Amino acid sequence: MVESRKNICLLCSLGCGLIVDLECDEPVNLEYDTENGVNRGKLCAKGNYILELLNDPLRLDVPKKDGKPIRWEQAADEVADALRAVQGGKTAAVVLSGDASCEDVGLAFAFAADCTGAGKAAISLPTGDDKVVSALAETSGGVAQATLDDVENSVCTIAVGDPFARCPVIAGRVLAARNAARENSLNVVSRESNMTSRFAATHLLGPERDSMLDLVAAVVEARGGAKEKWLNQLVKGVDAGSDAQKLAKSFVESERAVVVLSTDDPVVAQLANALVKAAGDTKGLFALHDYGNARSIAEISSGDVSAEDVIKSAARGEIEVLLVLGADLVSSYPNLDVNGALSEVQLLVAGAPFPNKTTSLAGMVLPTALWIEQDGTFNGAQCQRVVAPPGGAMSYGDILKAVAKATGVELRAHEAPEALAEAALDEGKAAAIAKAAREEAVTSPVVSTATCFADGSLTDRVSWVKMVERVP
Amino acid sequence: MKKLFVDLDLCIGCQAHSVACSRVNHDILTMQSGEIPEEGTLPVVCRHCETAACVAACPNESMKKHEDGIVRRNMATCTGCMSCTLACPFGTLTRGMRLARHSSSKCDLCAPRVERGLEPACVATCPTSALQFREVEEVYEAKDVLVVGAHTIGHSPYIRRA
Repeated sequence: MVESRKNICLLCSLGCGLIVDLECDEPVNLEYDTENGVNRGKLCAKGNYILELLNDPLRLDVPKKDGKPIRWEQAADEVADALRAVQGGKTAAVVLSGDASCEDVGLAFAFAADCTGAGKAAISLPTGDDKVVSALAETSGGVAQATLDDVENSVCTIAVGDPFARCPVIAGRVLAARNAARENSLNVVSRESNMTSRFAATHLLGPERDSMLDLVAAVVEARGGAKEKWLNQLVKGVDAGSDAQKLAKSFVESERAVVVLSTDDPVVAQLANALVKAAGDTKGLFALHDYGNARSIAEISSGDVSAEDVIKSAARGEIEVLLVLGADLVSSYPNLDVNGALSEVQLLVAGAPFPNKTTSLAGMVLPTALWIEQDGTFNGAQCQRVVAPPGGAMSYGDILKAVAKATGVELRAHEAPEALAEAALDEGKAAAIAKAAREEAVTSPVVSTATCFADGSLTDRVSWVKMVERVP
Repeated sequence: MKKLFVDLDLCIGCQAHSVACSRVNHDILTMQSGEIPEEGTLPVVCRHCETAACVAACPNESMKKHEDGIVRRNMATCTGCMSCTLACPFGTLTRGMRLARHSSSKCDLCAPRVERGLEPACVATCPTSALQFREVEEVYEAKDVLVVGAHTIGHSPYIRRA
């Protein structure tokens, strides 16, 4: 008897629907959910590998301390003891991956408040998205957020970066809009030629910050100046090229227009917000993130401590107990000396579905469930678990609850922090953005590693080649 | 009969079709991706030729053109001599992977899925609907699409918007 259960994919921020067929509660087949409004059954290369994630022989399924299997109760007791032993001046920290459910994020904040003393809870979105999401939130006041239907009905679409590579399923909507009428256009702003720019009517090739600033200036000019002082300040002294002027004119005059944003640069993200704001009503922004529940988490997290801050604190010897759930900090931050920082931590507890570089450094390794193996809210959708996690793997929330219980605290479940307030651009911010936009982007690579296979692949766009060639 | 078509105006080269293909065929990748320098990648689709060179080349009669128009390979009798891969003028046949390393890989248009009323996996997953499973006559007579190289040897799977 085959039973079909629906869920969503969290390997990028779109949240495409999928169906897993089960036989005797074992996942046997992945099917395409044509009734899902997000993807209408379509899945990219990454989405097609979800069944392999569930059935992978490398999945962690038992807690281990110094390489030796231990019971969950013992693991929770030892973490609780370590937390209790944290002395003044030192602290404990929790880093949670971007594929955590909204409920688990709420629990992490409760855990940090009740169980770690003067501890910190950092929500790590190991894709660079934490900075982009914060940058977008800081300047989102009055900027319309486009829906997928808006993208599909757009007359003039401006793609920033390479959205087709990041989230191939969005390409269906973007190309449908482009092909709906002869006057419709797809335009691309990117540093180099890419998958998306092959389809572009206009391609502003070059540093994205420069091109975006040009575009904002050209839009302000096309509208005969801006009412907002900050916009005038932002574009002061910018002389847009003819291609930017033509594109800006088309963008402003189009009845429906959308900016599809795919960037790791927070300044470009803020300029995208400014572009939509400058162009007036009926324009919208659709932002894409590398994977996971990033957008929902950003909405409910206070964002006070980033994973990068935690790593730096650890390097200064300020963190005694570090609980990393889901994220692979070593692979995610190649420019930081994470190895050195983690060696300063008294007890490093790493929870992950697969072995990774962080688990190899950890004193204690905990097996975690994938999103598809737990109930929770992801990307605004309430999802029921499709299959039980292998062996003793537990969700991030359940791990935190178990440790809290061992410390004698009953976690207040599902209490999320307040949402980030919408903040508008003002003259002060505009001056800062204008200054940053004229500078060369400082590349600070942050690699997406959540839910990856042990070899660190899957989140790589061409990783299927490695997967297919991986002979047992 | 229904065959695969690739709309070149919609193909972004994401290669999702390859992953879906190897997934439903137990890691035997039957649909390759070709790369055109500076243009991108696109699916290389078995054309199920009327007079199939792979069928003629197979010394064991493992490759056969069936009544439904599909060229199928019998894995039980295939010795992996790779004559078919040499004979195919379109480069659609390659050596299989994993357990099927001894044989070539061959697209059967996902016959088991089609029998269940589903589309071939590559078509179902294609994010932009560039891969289409359509009646050959319907496509060749359609006024909104052009079949690229319609008069070359065999059936051409590549279409563009008119």
